[in-house]
Amino acid sequence: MASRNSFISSFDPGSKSKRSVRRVWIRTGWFIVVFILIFGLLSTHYAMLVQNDQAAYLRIIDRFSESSPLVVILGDSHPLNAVDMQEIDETYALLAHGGDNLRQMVIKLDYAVSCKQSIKYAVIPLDYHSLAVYRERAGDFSRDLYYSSNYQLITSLYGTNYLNVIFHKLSLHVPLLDASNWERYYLILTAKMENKALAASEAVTPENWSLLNDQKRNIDTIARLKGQLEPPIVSDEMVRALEFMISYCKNNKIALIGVRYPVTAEYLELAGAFGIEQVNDIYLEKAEVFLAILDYREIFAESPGYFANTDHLSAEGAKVFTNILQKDLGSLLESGVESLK
Amino acid sequence: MSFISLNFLIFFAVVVILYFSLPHRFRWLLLLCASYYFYMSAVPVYVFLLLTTTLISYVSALYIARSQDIFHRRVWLGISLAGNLGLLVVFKYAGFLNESAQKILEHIGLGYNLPGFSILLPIGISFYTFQALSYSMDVYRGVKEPEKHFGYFALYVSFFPQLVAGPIERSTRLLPQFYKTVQFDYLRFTLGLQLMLWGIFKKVAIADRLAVVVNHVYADPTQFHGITLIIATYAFAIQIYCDFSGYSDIAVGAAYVLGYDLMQNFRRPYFATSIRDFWQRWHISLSTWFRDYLYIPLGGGRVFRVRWYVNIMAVFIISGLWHGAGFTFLAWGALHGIYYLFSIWFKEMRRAFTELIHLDAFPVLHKAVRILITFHMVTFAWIFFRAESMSDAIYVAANLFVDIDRFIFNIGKLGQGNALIGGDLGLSKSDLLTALMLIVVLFITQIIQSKVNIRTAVAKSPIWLRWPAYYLLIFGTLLLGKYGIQEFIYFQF
Repeated sequence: MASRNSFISSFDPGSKSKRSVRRVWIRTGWFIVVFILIFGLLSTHYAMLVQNDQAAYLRIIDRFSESSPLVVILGDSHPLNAVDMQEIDETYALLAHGGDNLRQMVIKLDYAVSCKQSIKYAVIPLDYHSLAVYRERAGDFSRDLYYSSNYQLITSLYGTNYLNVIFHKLSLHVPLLDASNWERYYLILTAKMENKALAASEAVTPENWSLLNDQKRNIDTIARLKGQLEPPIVSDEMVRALEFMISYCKNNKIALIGVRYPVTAEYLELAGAFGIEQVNDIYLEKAEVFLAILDYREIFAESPGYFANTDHLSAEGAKVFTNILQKDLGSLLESGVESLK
Repeated sequence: MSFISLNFLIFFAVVVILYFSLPHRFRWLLLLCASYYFYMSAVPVYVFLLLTTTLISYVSALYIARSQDIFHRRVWLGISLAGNLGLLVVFKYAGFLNESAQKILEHIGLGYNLPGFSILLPIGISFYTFQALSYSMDVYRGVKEPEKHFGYFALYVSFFPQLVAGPIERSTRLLPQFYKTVQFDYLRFTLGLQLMLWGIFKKVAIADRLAVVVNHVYADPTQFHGITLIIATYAFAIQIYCDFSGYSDIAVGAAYVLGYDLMQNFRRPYFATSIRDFWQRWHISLSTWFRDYLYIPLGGGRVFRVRWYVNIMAVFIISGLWHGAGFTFLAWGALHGIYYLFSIWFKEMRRAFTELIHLDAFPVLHKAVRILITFHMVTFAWIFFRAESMSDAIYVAANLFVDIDRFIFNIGKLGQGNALIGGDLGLSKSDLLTALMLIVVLFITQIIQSKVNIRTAVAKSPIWLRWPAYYLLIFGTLLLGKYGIQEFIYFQF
């Protein structure tokens, strides 16, 4: 009772009347109600603007649900741009998406395995930045919730709690609850750069690398490497996710294949200054748990025309690369199926 | 826990509701627990440093006051200074001192094998150490009675709104406020929230937007030249102001909601007409701290001229090092010291020149020129503050005007990543324009604020005007904000 009195007297030093306290609460309540209304309206508007993006993401999942693949290709914008789905057969399913890190790959693999018994192989990228803090920072698991309901796996991989998962699940319906969506909203509203905004994190500039001069190529490459490989180049969290992936595959009898995707000559040359040997050492150490590690880093070093930018293949490059990858994976599958028996 | 997070929003709402629900005698306990929780949400183990600082200052102050003779008073003051500064040196400067000693000894051919070590800098250590030190010195001088209530004193050192990045409060101002019974005041509540909102706007909409450019360019400035370096340096001048004053606004606003008045930390610093004036407007709680506890004890201006100059340089260099353990901060402080000395030495010459060109006949123009010159001097000095090494700082300073003519003829390509005009800025053209627009809004607001108290005017206006203004600021901030770009700059100090 004492605290109740103190509460009232604190809120109303003058008359101490309950009416004044009620007025403050009513006023505050109305302010919040109007705020929620405006927020809801803006959020609905935003959801309408990005429905194509959502649809594109969900299409990847839909397409997957219609297939019965043997191999699932996971990863970020590297495989997404390097694998041309027109060139590859139904043995393979591409679940890669720009910005995906190893945590997301585990969750996608878990989803894939839980709905397709046919999957026996998983292909993951083993690029320099795959273990970097740059990838660790991509801690938004909202889009994982589009398809996965394995909340235990999500909380364990992201080191988060169920409350946070619920919040993110809610932000799928009220997207502006997620602060990063406000930035995208601004981009869409102001610059009318929907495409850029929608792929902001992993935008691949549609330009031909071979048309750029050396200075521009070096500046772009250094900027890219700085973003991707800022210290620490090896994040403990990402190594843990890689180990999680390895043990997940072992427990589920999935053969793991690593791919080191093609990059430009400039990228190969300049990456040396960023401590990449640490990453190479980890891959070397874990090499035996992979069915194979296919190293394509240098295959197009002399073909700048195959690149859209310093570490992404152009459509033309992807076409050529997909055939090479498919051929190599095909050989592996023949031997791998035997070894899995 | 960052001020710009949902966690803080929930934390603050819970603290405010509990605070006004509790009787006065329990409120200090709530605030103390909240402050320690707030601090421990970053790196829990560093709470022991905070506790140690609190204990050292509390006990030494009691003994200072109890001691009858000057010798024992000095001994206890010495214990407080050595203990608090010792912690600061170990946790903030040990790595820097070790590396510097290694370099110097290697240079003169002496082997030095002490292994390098790096400790994660405890958040806010420079701030709460200085706050605790000022208390010890105030008690020693007899300006303040020692605080007997340990809980109140612990709260004074750790009060969460200003624990991590100030304002550095004085015991004579803050401690007595804990004794006063605070009643909920709707106007005060509104004004405090307004200030917090304005601080958030400055941080996420302006500072973090500009941080994209600054971080992009200053990560490796040797890749850029000319106008790109100039823009990045101007951007940093605005970024650091909006970042730090934004933090201070949130801190002062949060404390105000709870019924406490913290000191004003910024007073439109980029409208300063001289370097001296700038330091009376920028990070006021620190500059007055240095004035009261270092400059005046050194003798201030009441000593021989040369000694006075030495005092000025010493204060500025120490102020630079307070910000960070590095030669760039030392250079930044020294540069401000040199500015200050030059302003003294050439005072008469400036006056004569002003009269010669009849600038004194146009006081408004004269003031504008002085503001512009001061702003550019301060901005130039920021290069040393922001650069990651002395070589980077020197490169930026030396390459500011390279190819400036190309920029003039290619101004339309700004923000398009064109190498012709010094390289990519990291922000699109529309983002750059938005940043520019927001800076203009900021300065116009500051000019109006100097004439009218906008916050009070808004708070007292009718609801149909007041609420749309609040919603506009809230949703404008959300929409124009950049998120997760950078933590508050002063957290690293």
